[in-house]
Amino acid sequence: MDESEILRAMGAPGTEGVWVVIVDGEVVGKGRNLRELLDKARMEHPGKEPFVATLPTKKAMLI
Amino acid sequence: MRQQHALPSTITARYQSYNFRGEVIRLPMLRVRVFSRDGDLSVRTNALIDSGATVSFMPTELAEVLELPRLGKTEADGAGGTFGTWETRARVEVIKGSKPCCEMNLDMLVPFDTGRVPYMVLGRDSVFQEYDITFRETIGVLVMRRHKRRGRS
Repeated sequence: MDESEILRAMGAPGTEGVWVVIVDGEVVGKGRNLRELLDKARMEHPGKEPFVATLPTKKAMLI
Repeated sequence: MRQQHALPSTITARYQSYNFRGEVIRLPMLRVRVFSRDGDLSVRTNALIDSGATVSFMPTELAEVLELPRLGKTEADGAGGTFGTWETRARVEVIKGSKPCCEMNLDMLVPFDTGRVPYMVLGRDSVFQEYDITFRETIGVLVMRRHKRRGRS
C-alpha cells in the first residue's frame, strides 16, 4: 500500500490527531510525539525519508 | 512565495481520503517535501490547499523537528479565535508521483500551541499566486493550472 492508502485505512477511534510516520510503505509508529517517532524511523530505516501525517480530529473542520 | 525552479503547467492530485469513525473525509491535499533549516533533513507530508486561508501554516510539531527559524511573532485569526504564531520560512517541494515538480521558499506561520493546525496549509499567499486552482469536489480531484501572464515566456 502507498501512503495515501495507509492513511485511508487508518482512523480507528482513539487515533484522532495522532501523528503517523510511514517509511517504505510501513507504519513505523503512531503517537503524539513526532520527534520520538522520527527518531525511531531514522534508527530503523537509516537514510530513508519518512512520510508524516496526522489523522483528522473532527469530521467538521474549519481551521 | 519565492519560486526557485520552473513550475509545471498543470498539477493534478486526488483528494486525500481519511476514515473517520466509519465515514470518509476527503481533503484537497498536495504531497510535499519540507526541508529542515540546514537542509540536512526532509520529510514528506500532505498539505491542505486552502482557498480560505490568506496565509500558509505549518504544524508546530513539524516546524520544531525541522528546526525552522523563528523570524518573528504575529497573530492569526482562525475559527477558534485569535492565536499567537511565529513566522518562519521553509523550503518546500511539491511532489507529483514520486518526484518533485517544483520547489518554493515559503513564508509560513507556526502556531505557538501544538494541535492548532493539524497539517500544512497552503493558503492564498502560496501556490495560488502561480496557479488557477479548481476543486473538482464531485470526483475528488484538485486541478492546478499555471497562470498565463502577459509577458511570460
